[in-house]
Amino acid sequence: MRQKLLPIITALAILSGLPMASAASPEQDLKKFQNYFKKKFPKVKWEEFANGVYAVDPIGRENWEAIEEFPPYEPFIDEGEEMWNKAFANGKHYKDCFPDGPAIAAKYPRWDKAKGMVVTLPLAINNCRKANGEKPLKYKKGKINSLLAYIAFQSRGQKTHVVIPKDDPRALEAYEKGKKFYFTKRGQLNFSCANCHVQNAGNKIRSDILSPALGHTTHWPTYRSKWGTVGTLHRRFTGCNKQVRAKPFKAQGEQYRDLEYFLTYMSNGLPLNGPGARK
Amino acid sequence: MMKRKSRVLVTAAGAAAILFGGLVIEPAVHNSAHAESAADAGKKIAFSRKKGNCIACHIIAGGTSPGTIGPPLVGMQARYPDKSKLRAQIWDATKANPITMMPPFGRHKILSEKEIDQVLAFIMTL
Amino acid sequence: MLKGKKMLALAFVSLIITGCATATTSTESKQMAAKSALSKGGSIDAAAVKQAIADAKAAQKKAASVEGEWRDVGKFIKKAEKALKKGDLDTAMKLAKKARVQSELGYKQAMEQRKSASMSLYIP
Repeated sequence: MRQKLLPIITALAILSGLPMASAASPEQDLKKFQNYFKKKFPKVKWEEFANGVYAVDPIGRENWEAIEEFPPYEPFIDEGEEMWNKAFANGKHYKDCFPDGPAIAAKYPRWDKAKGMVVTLPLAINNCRKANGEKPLKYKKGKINSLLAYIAFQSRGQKTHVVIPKDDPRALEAYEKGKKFYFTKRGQLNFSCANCHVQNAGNKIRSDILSPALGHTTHWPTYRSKWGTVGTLHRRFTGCNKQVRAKPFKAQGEQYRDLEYFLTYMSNGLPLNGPGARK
Repeated sequence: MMKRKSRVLVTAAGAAAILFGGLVIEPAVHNSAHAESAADAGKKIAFSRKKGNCIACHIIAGGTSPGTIGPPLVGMQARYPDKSKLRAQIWDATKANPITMMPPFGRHKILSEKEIDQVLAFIMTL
Repeated sequence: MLKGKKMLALAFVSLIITGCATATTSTESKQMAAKSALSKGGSIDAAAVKQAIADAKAAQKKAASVEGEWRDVGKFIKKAEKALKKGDLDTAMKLAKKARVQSELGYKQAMEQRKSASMSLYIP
């Protein structure tokens, strides 16, 4: 019996020991990640990374700047403001859930110790609605984007500062899961997120320039010409997964929330500039 | 065993060809036409978004708006004197580089074996 | 003179190839004919198709359990079920097999990536 157990115990020790020994801290990851992009794009100023592909695509940028003169997301901001100010059926407002609102975008995503999960802004909005007897909004398309657009607009200029609290190992676990997701090859085409947006950022895929991962999270919700409307970050995740021919995960499910947690953390220090406009 | 059999076959075919000299030209022409059409089929696959989509990442003569992710597909005969190595690269590029962007067209059955042969025939003309 | 020799050699080869090709095609078409006869016959093949669809679903579930499901597997299974209903057993079988094979590949990919995927491969 003991003879049989010993190799198992040894194997377990090696298995559990290895990742511990090789795992970098989030702070180390952050430095490595950001330095990688600074080195890859030495001419791009730090704040410029918040402009995504337009930081590295001078031709696309001209078009984009023209679009930003009359932003297509503007009506959504206005609609979101109405939503923010309108009372729920019970007479309460969003403000009762978010006393610091509406400029609260930089507070998310955040680790919620009581719930033991990453809470994103769209999730917090629906939690608020449910607590006040309102129907939750859909997470990819529709009205939630208007409210998010208003909040994002009010939060412009705030800086990304995601915190991975040290007092709860589950927060680090969620971060690690999101990180693993980012570098995992998926789908029939066998792409990881990093294949396109780290390894080949700045390269052309057909006639499109691949945007750098750094800055991916600063400008949501985003009006995409391809969508003809404003959509959420998780809608974009869904699209990316489909493009590599993987089955997408649920918007606001654990995988995408953890992914958002990791990816937003990687952009720590960049200014928030949502809502955005993209091709 | 197999070898001996095929040698017998060759001899037989040779004899037949000599006997029916008039027929010799026809199959030869047919064969080169066949090879040409494989390359043509391969070209279509290489330029098709839903199929090979090689142009998405590689510069290819005759294609517009190519990507810049992979190396330009030029001088393939010189770069791959051993055609089977190029085929292996198309079939599963992760063998040579585990984090390559290039999809494993054969291993993940993105293209059929026949389609890979056609793409190979096309690329070898570049 | 040399040209002629080369031509002859080519001709031999092509003759052999053509001969072989004809042989395979005819056996293949015989097999296909046998298959479709069976399909039209019904019971045996329909059961096999049902089994193939069940296998595909099991494989799909297994792939999903490790977050390795591919995009079109669900679509293939639905189409296979539709084809089965219409009595198009060959199409149903083909789709079910494709769904199973893709699921197995997705599972394999996910398990392999669990071990190997890491940030340091991309950013050393």
